[in-house]
Amino acid sequence: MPNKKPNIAVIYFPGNNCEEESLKAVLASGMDGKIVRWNQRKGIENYDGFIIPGGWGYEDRIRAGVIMAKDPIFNSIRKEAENGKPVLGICNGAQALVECGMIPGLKNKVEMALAPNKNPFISGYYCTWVYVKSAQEKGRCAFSNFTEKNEIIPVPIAHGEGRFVTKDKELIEKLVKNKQIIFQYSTKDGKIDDSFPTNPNGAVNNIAAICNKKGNVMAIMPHPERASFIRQLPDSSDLKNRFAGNKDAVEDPAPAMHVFKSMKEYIEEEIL
Amino acid sequence: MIKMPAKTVETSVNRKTISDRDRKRMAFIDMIVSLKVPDTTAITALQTLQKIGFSKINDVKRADYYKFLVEGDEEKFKSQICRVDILVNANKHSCSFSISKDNMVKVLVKNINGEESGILSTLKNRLGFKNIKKIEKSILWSLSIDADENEARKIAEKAAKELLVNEHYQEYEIL
Repeated sequence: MPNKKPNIAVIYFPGNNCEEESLKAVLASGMDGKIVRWNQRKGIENYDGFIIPGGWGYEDRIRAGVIMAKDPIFNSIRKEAENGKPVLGICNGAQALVECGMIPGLKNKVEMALAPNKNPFISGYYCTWVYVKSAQEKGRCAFSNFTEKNEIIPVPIAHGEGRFVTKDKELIEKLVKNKQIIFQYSTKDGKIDDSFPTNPNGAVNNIAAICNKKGNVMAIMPHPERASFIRQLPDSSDLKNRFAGNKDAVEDPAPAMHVFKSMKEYIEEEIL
Repeated sequence: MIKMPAKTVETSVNRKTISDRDRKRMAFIDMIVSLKVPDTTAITALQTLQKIGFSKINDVKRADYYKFLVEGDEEKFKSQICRVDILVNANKHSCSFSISKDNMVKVLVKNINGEESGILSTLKNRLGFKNIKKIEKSILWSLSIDADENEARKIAEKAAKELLVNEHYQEYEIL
C-alpha cells in the first residue's frame, strides 16, 4: 500500500462549472486533489492523475471543447497520459479529449466528434437522468475496476453536443474489437435500445464513454460526479428509496462513485 | 447544400409536387446575419488560430448564413425576414442579402444533416412564412490573410481543418 494518497489535478478552464463537484467526488473516494487553473502548467507533472470537468469551457465557442483542446496545457496532459497517468474527461472535458485526439487515440488526429444531440423533441441542450451499462469486464480501463460487465448505473446527462459520431466507417468496429467502449446508454433493465429516450442524444452504438486503447484515458458524457452519493440520485430511483428515512445513509456512495474509486486504485497500483 | 428542384416532365405522380409555373416563382435567398457588437467567438477563433501557428491570419469575422428557398415575391420576403427577431435582433445584429465583396477568404461551415426543421416550423407555423420551402443554416467565416490569393485559400483550408470544422459531422466550402 503506497504511503501517500493519489493527488488529482481537476483542470479548470474558463467557463467550466463542475470543478467543485468533481473535486468533492475525488476527495470522497479517498484521493487528494486540487483545482488547477488552465494557465498553471508549471508543476502539472507532480499530479498523479487529471480530471477535465464539465461546463462550457470558453463558452463552447466555435464547437464544444475545441478551444480547450488547443490550449497548451493539453500538451502537458497528453505527455502525462503517455506515461500512464489516468485522465478523465467528463462532459465538456470529454468533448475536449475527443477534439484533441486523445480519445479514441488510435491515430494521431481527431477521429470522432461529439456532435449536436439528435432528439425528437428538444433541440440543443438536454438535461435528464439516464442509465448506462458497463460494456466491458471489470478493470478494462482505469475507471472501471469496480464495475462488473453489464452493471447498470444511473447518471445524469446535461449537454447539447454529446452525440459520439465518426465518418470513419471502420472506427466503431475497431473500438468494439479493442473493447474501448466502456459505457453505453441502456434501459433500466440493461437493454441497448438506440431510440430516444434510452439513447438520449443519438450517439452511434449508444456510446456514453470511450477509453483509449491503453485504458488510462476516458471520455464520458454523463456526469459521474453528480451521481456519486445516494443523496444526489433522483427521488424516483429505487436505490434512493431503499434508504428512505435514513438520513445518514444519503451520504453513502452511489454506483457512479466507482469511477473515482477505480481511478484511485489504478493510481495506487500503476503510478505510485 | 440545397438543390433547386430539377425540371421534370409532369406526370400524374409529380403533378402535385412542383409544377413549372411554381418552380419559376421560387428563388434562393441568402441572408447573412452578423453581430454589430464585438463577436467574442470570432476574437477567440483569431487568437486560437494565431496561437496554433497561423501567423498570417490577422482578422476573423463570423456570421450566420441562412439560405432560404422561397416561393413568391422575393423583395417582400426580404423586407419581412430581416425583421424576424429569432434570426435578427436589431439591437445587436446587422443583416444583408449578399456576401460582402472584400479581400477576406470565406469559409462556409455547415453541419451534415443539420437540423433546421425547428426553425422552419417556427417560421412557417408560428410566424406565417408559409412561402418558405426549405432553409439551411451555416456559419460563414471570413479570414483576412497576409498572402496572395492562392496561398490564402490554402491557409484558409488548413485553418478550417485544424479549428473551424470537425469533419466527422460538418462540411465546409471555401467560397
